[in-house]
Amino acid sequence: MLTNSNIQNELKQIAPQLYAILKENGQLNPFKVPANYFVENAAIIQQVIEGKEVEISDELKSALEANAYILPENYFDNLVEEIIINIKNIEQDEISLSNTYKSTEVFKVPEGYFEGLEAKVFDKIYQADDESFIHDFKEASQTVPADYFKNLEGKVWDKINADKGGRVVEMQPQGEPKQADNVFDIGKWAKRASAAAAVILVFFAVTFLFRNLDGGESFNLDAQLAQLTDQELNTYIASHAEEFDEFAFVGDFQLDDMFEFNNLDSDFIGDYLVDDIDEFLIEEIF
Amino acid sequence: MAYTEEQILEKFSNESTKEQAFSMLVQTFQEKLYWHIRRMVKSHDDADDVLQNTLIKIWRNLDKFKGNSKLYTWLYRIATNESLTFINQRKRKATTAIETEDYDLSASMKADPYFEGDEIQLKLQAAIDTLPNKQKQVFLMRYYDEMKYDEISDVLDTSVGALKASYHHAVKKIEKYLLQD
Repeated sequence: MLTNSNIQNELKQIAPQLYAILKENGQLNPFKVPANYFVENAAIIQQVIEGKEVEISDELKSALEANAYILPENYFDNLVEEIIINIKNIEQDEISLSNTYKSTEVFKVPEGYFEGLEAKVFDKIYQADDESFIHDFKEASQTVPADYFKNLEGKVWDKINADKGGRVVEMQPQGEPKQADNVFDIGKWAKRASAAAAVILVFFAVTFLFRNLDGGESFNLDAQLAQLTDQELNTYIASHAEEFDEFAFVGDFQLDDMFEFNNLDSDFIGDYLVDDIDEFLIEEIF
Repeated sequence: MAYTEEQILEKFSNESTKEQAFSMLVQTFQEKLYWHIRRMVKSHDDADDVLQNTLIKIWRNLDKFKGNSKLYTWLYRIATNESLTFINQRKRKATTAIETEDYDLSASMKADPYFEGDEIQLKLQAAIDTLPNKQKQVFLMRYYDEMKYDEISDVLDTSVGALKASYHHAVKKIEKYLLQD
């Protein structure tokens, strides 16, 4: 029975209707407790904390010891064989089941399905009823953020400078505006022209000097060789004998004396054509 | 027989009289703890389970009691936590959508041989069960256990002002539930 008047008055102030209901019905405790519950509970708890075994009455003991369950005859004698047979049957069922699934294709596919699949997909894409999808796709693929190109150069320079680790230093003094490259700047063109003229002059000078290194003689190689005497030729050949092969060195000879035709027999002469001889002489001497 | 908290704690501090002290504690507080638990879990069998767990936990942790609060509120806190743990576990075990707390409560209480309440009592218990856990605890401790707000504050670790507000809301909700058709 609730006796605290303060709490009752508090409830009356907050919820007067509830106060009336509880006063009439709520004060009775609807919950019941088994007989001797608290006495037995205290004893049980005490046994638990003391680590004692729970006391069991003699009647309960005899009831627990009595075996009310009956077994078939020779149950344990035949148990092992029955288990083995059951295992074999289960394994056999599993094998046949797996074979059934392997041999039988449950799911079918229409003929030529995969061959025509790609074409079907592309047809659907191109013939899309909802043109906005294609339009959106194209638009999305061609959309560029606002001011992208405007800011692009700055971003690139920022990255370059960040990589270098340095900062950009203006070549011009601060305050002065940068001058644009004036195409019609005469001074700049004059500089370029003078440089080109200097190069050309140098080229011709070198050429002229090279041509006149031998004191004014003609630069024509053939003309120079034609002016060489036989003695000069023989001297040159003698001093450069190793550069020729066995046919090269002939000593002090004259072309006309190379072969004494009168001393040669007709067989020897016949072995050579006149052209061959001339060709040989020219090649070996010059 | 009831013993004072000082007698119990003094005997418990002595190793030779520890078990005797615990026996004194159980005798003094078991009924209060039981009814506190029972009003939350409803069923006697469930209350018995929770009470057993609570008392064993008290035995294992009584030496850690520092005396910052009354022994009674410390015991209540353990009982409250064990009750809430039990209720939450029971909720998790519910496997179908219709196994709501109210559905279980009405059917189970009618079938409970240890419940002798009429329709109004059933409705009152159902109304209390609609409350959130905190409000339910505040209402039960304040109205049925007749505990002071500062004692409830020690148990639930909540300010007195918040407890008064919770009690106010709880009472209003129960009243509304009982008056609806």
